[in-house]
Amino acid sequence: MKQGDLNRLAVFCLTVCLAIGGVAVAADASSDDLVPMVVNLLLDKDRDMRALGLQQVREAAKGPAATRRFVALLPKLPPDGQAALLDALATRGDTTARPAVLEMLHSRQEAVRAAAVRALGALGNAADVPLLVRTLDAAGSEKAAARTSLVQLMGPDVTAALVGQMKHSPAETKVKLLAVLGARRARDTIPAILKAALDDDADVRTAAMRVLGQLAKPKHIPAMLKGLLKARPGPERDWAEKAVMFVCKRIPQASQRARPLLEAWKGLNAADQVSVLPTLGRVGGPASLKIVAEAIADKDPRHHAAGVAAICYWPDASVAPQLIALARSEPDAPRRLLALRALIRVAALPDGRSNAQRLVLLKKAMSMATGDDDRNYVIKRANAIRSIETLRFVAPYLGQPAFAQQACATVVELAHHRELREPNQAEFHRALDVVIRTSKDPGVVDRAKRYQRGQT
Amino acid sequence: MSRVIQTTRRDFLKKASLTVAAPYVITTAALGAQGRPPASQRIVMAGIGIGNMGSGDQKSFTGRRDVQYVAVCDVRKQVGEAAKGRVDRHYKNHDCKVYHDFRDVLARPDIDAVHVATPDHWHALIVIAACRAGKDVYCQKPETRTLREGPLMIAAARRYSRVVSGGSQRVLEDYRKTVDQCWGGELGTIKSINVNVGPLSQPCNLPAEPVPPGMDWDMWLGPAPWAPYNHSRCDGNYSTGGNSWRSYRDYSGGGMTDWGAHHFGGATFAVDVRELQPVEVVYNNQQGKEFLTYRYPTGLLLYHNHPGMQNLQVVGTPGEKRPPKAVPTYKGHGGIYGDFLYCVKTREKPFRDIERAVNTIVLAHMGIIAYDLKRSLRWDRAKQEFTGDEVANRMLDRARRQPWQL
Amino acid sequence: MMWYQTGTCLAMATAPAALSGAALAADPPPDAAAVNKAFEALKSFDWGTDQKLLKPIDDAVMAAHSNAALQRELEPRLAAVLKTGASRDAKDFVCRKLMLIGTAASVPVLAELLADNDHSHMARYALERIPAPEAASALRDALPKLSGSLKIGVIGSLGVRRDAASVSALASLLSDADAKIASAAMCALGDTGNSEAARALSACTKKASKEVHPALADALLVTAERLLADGKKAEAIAIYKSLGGEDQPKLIRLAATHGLLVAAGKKE
Repeated sequence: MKQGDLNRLAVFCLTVCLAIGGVAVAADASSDDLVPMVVNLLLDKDRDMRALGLQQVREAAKGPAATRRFVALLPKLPPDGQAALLDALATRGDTTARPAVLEMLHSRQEAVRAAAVRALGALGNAADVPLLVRTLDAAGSEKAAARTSLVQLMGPDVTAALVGQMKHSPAETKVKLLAVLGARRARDTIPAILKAALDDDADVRTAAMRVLGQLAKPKHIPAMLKGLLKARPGPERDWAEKAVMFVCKRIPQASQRARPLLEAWKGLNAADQVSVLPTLGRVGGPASLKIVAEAIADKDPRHHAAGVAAICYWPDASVAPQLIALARSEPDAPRRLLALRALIRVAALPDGRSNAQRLVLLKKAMSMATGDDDRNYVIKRANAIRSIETLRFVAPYLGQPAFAQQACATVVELAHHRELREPNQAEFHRALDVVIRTSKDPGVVDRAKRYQRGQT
Repeated sequence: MSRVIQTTRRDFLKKASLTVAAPYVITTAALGAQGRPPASQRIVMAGIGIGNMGSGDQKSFTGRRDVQYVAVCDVRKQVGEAAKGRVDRHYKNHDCKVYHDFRDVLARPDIDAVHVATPDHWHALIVIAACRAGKDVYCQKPETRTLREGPLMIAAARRYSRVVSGGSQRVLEDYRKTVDQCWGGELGTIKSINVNVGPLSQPCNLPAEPVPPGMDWDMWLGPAPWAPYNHSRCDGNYSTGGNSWRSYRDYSGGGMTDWGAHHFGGATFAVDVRELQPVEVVYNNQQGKEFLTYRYPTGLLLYHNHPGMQNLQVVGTPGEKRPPKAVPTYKGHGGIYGDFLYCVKTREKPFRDIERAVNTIVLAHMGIIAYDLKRSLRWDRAKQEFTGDEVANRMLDRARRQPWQL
Repeated sequence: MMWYQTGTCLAMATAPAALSGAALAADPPPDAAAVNKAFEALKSFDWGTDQKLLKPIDDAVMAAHSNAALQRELEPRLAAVLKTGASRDAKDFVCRKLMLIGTAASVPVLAELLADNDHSHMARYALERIPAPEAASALRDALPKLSGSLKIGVIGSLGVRRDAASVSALASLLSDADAKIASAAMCALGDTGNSEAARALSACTKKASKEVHPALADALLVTAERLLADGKKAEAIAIYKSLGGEDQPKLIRLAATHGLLVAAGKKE
């Protein structure tokens, strides 16, 4: 090592070669010299050498003293170097770096500010929540970084700070904060989220119900129903109903899933009970079916309509007889179609019935279908019933132009399952031949050819 | 190197090493639609082993705007040509090159990163050779075929500062509910978790069949013992019960390693021991029902096929809540592929960094040995050997067929 | 054969080496007649033959792990097959079993196969994993008699064994006219990774042909890692410094820098 090289090392002006030499000299001296070696590398002109230095910041030279040395470099680096070092300091996880990170939030470079915001997620605390919440409304990459940091930020008071921010924020920010609470799985904030489910703003209500669908427990269903009832018909109501359904479906015993909803339903007034009927349908179960059947039979058109909607949401095929009856004899044509489509949906569901039973019901639905769209829907749903009889059911449609494309897709989907295809090679071979000749979808043709060659 | 170098027809590594900083070489025709990063900022990639999993990986990488996909490699001519067709159709040109020898891919100085989806017995050799050639690597799971291979892959990645990602997307994506419960502290202190996966692979003695045209059979076997061609020996389907290379011991650990990479990976991530390796594996046999208990240095137990327990069933501490921890996730955008590419750019460790992938697959390999020997084993992570069990230590690795060496 | 006639030794196979108080299963006792039948089957065993015919030998080999007498009986019986005209598949099977229970006693017959194109690999399959020093000696002694791929295979096996006694033999190959053999020897010395190997590798840096430079650099880097792991920090640093010059490819300089960082972070 030449003296001149050492001097250049001292002023952090190294070529790649000098970096190597400088590092070697430092290593000779003492293991404590790792930090100056890293500092040199961070200032190197070569990108790969700098990457080595950043790797050390992330993983080596532990302790606050080293962190302070690295932090001190921030003002000396160009913007991309600052951003990279901030990211590395975040991974390093030493909160000693937090004050410097806060400083960098004032950078004139967006990339640097975004990196500082990202770093706060790992290095910040509850005191940084207001700043991060404000940044949710920033432009560009800072916004996404703020959202990520608010999800990652740890500490005992963070969720309380988030809830506190929600109280005085505009609706748009509330929506973002609710998503953050959901991503944090912040169950301790469920009371606040339930309150938001009654907000005057529809977007806030929807966001709150979606989060409740992820986090709430059966005991929260009565309160969730208040939110559901406040939801406007359409997508908002749809989401609210699904949220309640998700909570019920998390109950491990299938027989108990409807119980909390039914108990809450009983406590509602008559009008609200009608409004909640479709939700009962989404959850299903024998006790709910009794209520729904009564509603369908009711002469009050509102009750009847809600009952039909409920049964059309049913999660299994236990209501097939009722759906068949409705599809045949419901006076209102749109509701008749709704019932037929529900029948097609539940017919193929894997709900414990044999393949043969499922196919019989699907064929029944086909016999009741009056339009090509519905028939195509039947052919599409057939792909869920993995049996050779299904192939035999679908194969004739390959030759009918109105159904050929959907039939091709279903045949290929059935052929995908090797355990079905291999024992019935000859039949699949014939059907796939037709698919290759008929399908207009290159992806379907490609798959058909692969399956014919015995590939997956 | 070796091993690879020793056997190369060209001195690929020398060329690669000398030219690692050379600018990317992309033809004008390869330049894509507007809005893509300029060619100089794209990651130039190639695929090695481009069949079932490889073709899926290839589609994912070619679909990325920050990737320029330039070459495919497969020992089966037709498979390589089909892959070239897909790439060329994607870019609307004819530029994708086809190779049947991975060394020729690694010798190209313009290639920054490769994805590897060969049968498992090739993984370590190609990954290490790629690191030595200065390439970053996305390697399909299971990343190793023997216990000895893992530390050598990690060492090569670290030595050359390469980004090497394992290939299980399911670790993060498939068991999210369990992950969230454990990291969220809802289950209290985690005491155990169970993984149900199998079966173990078996020896293969299939009869000889004519080698089909376009198949380089010797290269398919590579470091594995010589055996005659048979279509079932080398079929890339996902079966582990026969009729595929995944069923046979020379090429795979069977379901134990294949799905094990997913399930063990998901389990160790959920209970946050992905940086650790167990200190012992206890072989249990209850009335003919075999299962394993892995014990971690933290005291946590990980069961394999515990009777009566479901896959990824967690036993926590009832009534106890722990402070939540932020769940690690992919960097960048686009799942595990986006995570890898992000790290190629930033030089960070990917979510399935090779060391974590190895920590996962160690469980499968240890388990296979414990089941084979029907006895419990102690594991010394620092020495990477079993303590006091000479026979088990013989099973840490297997000699590779010449001229291949790690 | 004594081991299956008396049953005394078989009882040893059931002795558990329990960890954590876990109950262990007893190995199923090998059935003598079945094992004899399996050895008969081995004579005509070939690709496509039903593998179940050999299962009794598999079971006996597993039982032999914890039964020294059984092992002593089984090993020569397996080794003897290697001297017969049994098929390649049958001999491969035997080598796989000797990999598990072979001792110095099997080394001579395995060593004879090292020069055989068809059997060299599976002979190493056993020899590479048999802990007895005789196995390493046999590999080492085979080096002068081999060339090409077979020699490269044996060199690699010595590297895997990290056989210190083979350093000088491997060092003598560093200037081999066949660059592939020289490169293989470099890699094997890297795997061995002791001070003597480091000296041998360092000594050839000046005279090594350009063709072998990548292998040499990698071997030196591997050696430095092993020296560092063994607490020989100064020796490791010397190697890293030697690879940091501008005459080295950038990838190697990066690796050397990384090595120096690791060394610097490591306490003496």
